[in-house]
Amino acid sequence: MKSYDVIVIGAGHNGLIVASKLAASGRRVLLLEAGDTYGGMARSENLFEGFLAPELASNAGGISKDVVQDLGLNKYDLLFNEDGIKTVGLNIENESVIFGSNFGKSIEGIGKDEFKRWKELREKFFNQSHLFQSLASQIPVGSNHKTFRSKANLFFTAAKLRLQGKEQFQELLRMITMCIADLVEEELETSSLKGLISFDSTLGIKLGPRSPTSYLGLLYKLSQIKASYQEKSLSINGGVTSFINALFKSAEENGVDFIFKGKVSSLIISDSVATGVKLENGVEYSAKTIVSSISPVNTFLDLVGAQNLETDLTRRIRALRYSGTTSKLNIILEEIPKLHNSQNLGANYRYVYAPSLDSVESNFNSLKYNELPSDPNFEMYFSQISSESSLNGAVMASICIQNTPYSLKGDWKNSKEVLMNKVISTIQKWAPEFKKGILFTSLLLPHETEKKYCVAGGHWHHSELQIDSLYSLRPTFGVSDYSTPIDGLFICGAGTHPGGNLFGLSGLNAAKRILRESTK
Amino acid sequence: MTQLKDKKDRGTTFSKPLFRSPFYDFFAAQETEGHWYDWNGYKSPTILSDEELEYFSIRSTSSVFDITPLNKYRIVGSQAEEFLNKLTVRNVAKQNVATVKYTLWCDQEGFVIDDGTLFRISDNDFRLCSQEKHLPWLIDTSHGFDVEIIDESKHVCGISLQGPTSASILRLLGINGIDNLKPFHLFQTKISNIPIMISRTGFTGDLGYEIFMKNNVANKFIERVWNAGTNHGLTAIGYNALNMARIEAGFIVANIDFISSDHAIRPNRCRRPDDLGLGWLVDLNKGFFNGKKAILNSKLEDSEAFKIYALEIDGKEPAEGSVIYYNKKDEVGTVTSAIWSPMAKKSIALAQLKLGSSNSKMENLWVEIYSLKELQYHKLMKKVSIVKPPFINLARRSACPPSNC
Repeated sequence: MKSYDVIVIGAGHNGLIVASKLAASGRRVLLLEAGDTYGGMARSENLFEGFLAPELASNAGGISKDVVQDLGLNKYDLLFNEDGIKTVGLNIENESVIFGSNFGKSIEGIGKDEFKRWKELREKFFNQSHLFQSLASQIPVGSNHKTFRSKANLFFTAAKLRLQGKEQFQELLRMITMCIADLVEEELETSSLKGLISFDSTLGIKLGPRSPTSYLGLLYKLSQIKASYQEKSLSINGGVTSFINALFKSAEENGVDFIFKGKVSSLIISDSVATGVKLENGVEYSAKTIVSSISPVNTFLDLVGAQNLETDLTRRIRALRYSGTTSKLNIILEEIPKLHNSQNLGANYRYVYAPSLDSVESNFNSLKYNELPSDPNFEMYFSQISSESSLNGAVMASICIQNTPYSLKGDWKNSKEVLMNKVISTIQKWAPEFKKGILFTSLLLPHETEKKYCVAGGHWHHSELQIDSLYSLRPTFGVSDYSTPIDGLFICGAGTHPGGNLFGLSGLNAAKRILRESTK
Repeated sequence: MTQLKDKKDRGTTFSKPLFRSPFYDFFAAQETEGHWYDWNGYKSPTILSDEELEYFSIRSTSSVFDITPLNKYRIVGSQAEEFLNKLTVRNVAKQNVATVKYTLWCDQEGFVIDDGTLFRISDNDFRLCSQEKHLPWLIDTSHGFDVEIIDESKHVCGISLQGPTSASILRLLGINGIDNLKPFHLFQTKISNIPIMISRTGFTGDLGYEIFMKNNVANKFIERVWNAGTNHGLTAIGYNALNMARIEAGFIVANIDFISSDHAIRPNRCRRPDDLGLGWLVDLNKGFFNGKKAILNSKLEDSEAFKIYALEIDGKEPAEGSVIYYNKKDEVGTVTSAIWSPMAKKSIALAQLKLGSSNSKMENLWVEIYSLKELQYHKLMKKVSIVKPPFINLARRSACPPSNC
């Protein structure tokens, strides 16, 4: 049996970060990946005629600055565009709202008074997101709750919050569990602006704008903006792919060994100590430290097995909400379609179809009852394809469709087509040439994501990012500090704190935790 | 099937309808001065005729007690043994077929959830009997094991036949194999075509048997037993008599002598097996089981927890609910169960005491008993000595074959 210091399971961005960081400390690291390439849910797939692009992740906005700096990713040609991505709130009837980068620092298409109110509201939102931002790079309180360091961390975080002043502190406590609908309806008038904010607060989680705590979704998003390059209105040149490539290069350079198509079937555990892994093809590897970047559900129930875990823990893991709520539609077009007002669709724009708060809420209502939304909301990015193939000059539209049920009432057979057509005809209304230019379409539903990307429920975040599953409750109480009851086994996936898109702090925090705890 | 109370008995809408065991009619017919209580949702007797006579039937002749309200779980499947090894603290691999073991199960902190008896009927077929309800816990624990958990509480009924003449009664019923049945062993047989499972177990510290059967044969069975017991002093008893016998035997009861970790609201009320004096049940050499890590860790720390002790108390007053003092002034714990033991001829008690790790306090313990005499309390301070349970040790409990009397 070949032996390593560390085995990392899953070559998603968190897995790559942990592997690279631990390898940099001089450990011999093996990274095992079930798929045939690195990147996890952000990996590039052969979409159409040899054209490679990320099938799922389309937004490289939320990448943590800490990760880039800590791993020195800049040296791998990770370039930044000066102008950040603006968001266009699509609205068929009225003029579209253009939401400036850095979450609406400037807005085109609304009145002066409205903008003034928005400015105040935005400032409040950003102030309150501070809590999340300061917690994001901390190792949560968990089984380590007795250590001085975690007590001190908690104390200083609480003190920092309180020192903002009594009024601000009370305002945070008042607002933190509210729904985003109440907050925006109190202050704003523009329907598409309210729709846009509701959409951003609830994308990727199973809440509607009128669900209590949906404001937290927004705070979470804003804290990511603050911790990423978006705050400086920078965006990564080459998007998701160049980030993932930089991570891979970094890991490779630090001496990480990779095995692709090496799906782990189980961990080798004796007496609650993990000593190695067993692959599906029967090969075994041993290591003192094993880090799983896959979903906590898969890690605990499939790899460790309920036989090796306390009933209390398996109960909590099985009770996690991890059904994905978002599907991904990729369309390849001959060229960038023109808008009906003959404006060009730009690559620097994100287009969101969420015309009103009610539209987002009624979409969510359909999801609650496992039905397809009648008028689905979505966000869309365009990227120019530059390759040597015949596709040169073509354009890819990556579309995230919100509120797609994991288990649809009825059959997906026809509904898949229906959902796709609904989205296309919405775009068509406002870009009449769109349909004509379509070369290729593919729709990936949550249950298909589950299968293809080996993630329970096909959930972006591995488990819901909601108030009951954040910080020391993420993925669940008792395993929130990246360690597990199985000695030698750590978790570092999106299901751990702070999780979320391509943030990367889960991996970085876990690596720090492992470095602090164990010697080689 | 068990039935709810008759409509006319149900009283007001807010009264709690109680189940009746299939043996209810039989026990109700034995009642002369009855007191009933709610045991696990069943109407069960505390006293049927006379508490003391009922108690002495356990020790001198024979007693029959309805154990139907116990929770009975059937655990079947190719991984039943592995599942039970995760659930309970004992090593089930070491339990032979056709035996019964007393066992307990813990949560992740190593705190005891409940105790019970585990019957191994065949390699892959077990019955677990417990005081409290645990179906969700069992089902959640069974995740990942090829095992089926069936709550047969409402379909299987049972009686406990305890006392020196109990073996003779079963012999009269024509049951072969009673002579060879060792304590904590079981076998399945038939009495005039009534299929039953007999085990030599009980909660009295005396010679005795527990017999389980399907509900539909309950009446026929109890009639036969009752007739066979006519000349052997067979008496129907309620819980109070049994409780006296179990205290003498030094057996503890969940939520009386300790609080199940399922029920405890205050964190310091939970107890580990060691605290209950049941550390010997825990097999730390077997594989993973619920609570193993916490139990191992707790052995490294100085335990500050309350522990259960068996006490003998000077004088004749039973010390139910009394406070125990060190050096007559520092409170160290409370009595959880106590009686005047007719067999040991002593005032005996089970108590939870916090004595610290040193044994120095053991020599200077006192109990404050408030004895009510004609409307006036007499405050007594009595000397307490810690003893090793059981309070009484009866040779007939384990004699094999049991004597013919």
